[in-house]
Amino acid sequence: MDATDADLIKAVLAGDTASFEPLVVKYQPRVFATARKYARLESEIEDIVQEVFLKAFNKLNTFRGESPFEHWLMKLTVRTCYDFLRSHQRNREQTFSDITEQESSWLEKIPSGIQPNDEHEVNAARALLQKLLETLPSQSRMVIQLLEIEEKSLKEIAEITGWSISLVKVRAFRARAAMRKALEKLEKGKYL
Amino acid sequence: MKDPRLQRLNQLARSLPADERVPYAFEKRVMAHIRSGLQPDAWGVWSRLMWRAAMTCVAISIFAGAWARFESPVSSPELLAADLEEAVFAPVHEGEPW
Repeated sequence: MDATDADLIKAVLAGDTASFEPLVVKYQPRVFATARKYARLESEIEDIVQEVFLKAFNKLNTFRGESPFEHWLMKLTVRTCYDFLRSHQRNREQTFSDITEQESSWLEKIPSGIQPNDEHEVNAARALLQKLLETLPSQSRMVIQLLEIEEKSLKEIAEITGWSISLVKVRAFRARAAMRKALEKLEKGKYL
Repeated sequence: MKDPRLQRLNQLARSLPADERVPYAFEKRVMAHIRSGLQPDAWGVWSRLMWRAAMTCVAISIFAGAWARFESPVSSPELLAADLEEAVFAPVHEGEPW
């Protein structure tokens, strides 16, 4: 029978480092999926995921077991992604010149609400979204991702980010405005 | 009011499947980093031991100083003078043992 998360955590805290490996194997797909929402380069994504698991190992004694380990780990993942966004903020003022034809065609499909069908279309739509989100300030990107895309509540966002609920609301308002501006800039760039 | 284009865009983002691909043996890389962090640093251990030894020496010095200050019978000037006299006349009192 496989050991539960609680058993593995207990073993790690007792000094059995190897017991952490099954936890990494079990949760790394979810951590990778989350990291891919905030970073584009595979090397950066790997660095984020590695950082998450190193932090999780070092802070494991602070996990009180009141909520599932997965929730604790995902909160840690989002915070690590936010730190990554803040440290890479200098790259956000980019132009849209590197948009491919396929990505550009998705820009036209946005108002019609057409969904991607195959893997190529999914990748093109994902790349377009990433490029659009990359132009936003780190706080705005975080709010758009959590509030609009993952549909988390204001309370949940406040818990994850450590901001007050009113601050989340203010930042959401600014983030929507920044997103609208970025979309207009993208469309303008396309038709010039 | 929300922009319909933004709503469509967010809808598109929500509809994209999560990309859960993991590089081959990534967990081994993480575990190697964790283990390398756990390796004792020889200079760190040596430095910690030296600090501990230095602190012990300081504590012993303070204790010995305090003990000498408060427990020693040689505290009055008369006793000090008598001891000095005895030391000076020691060669004269040859027959007496020290």
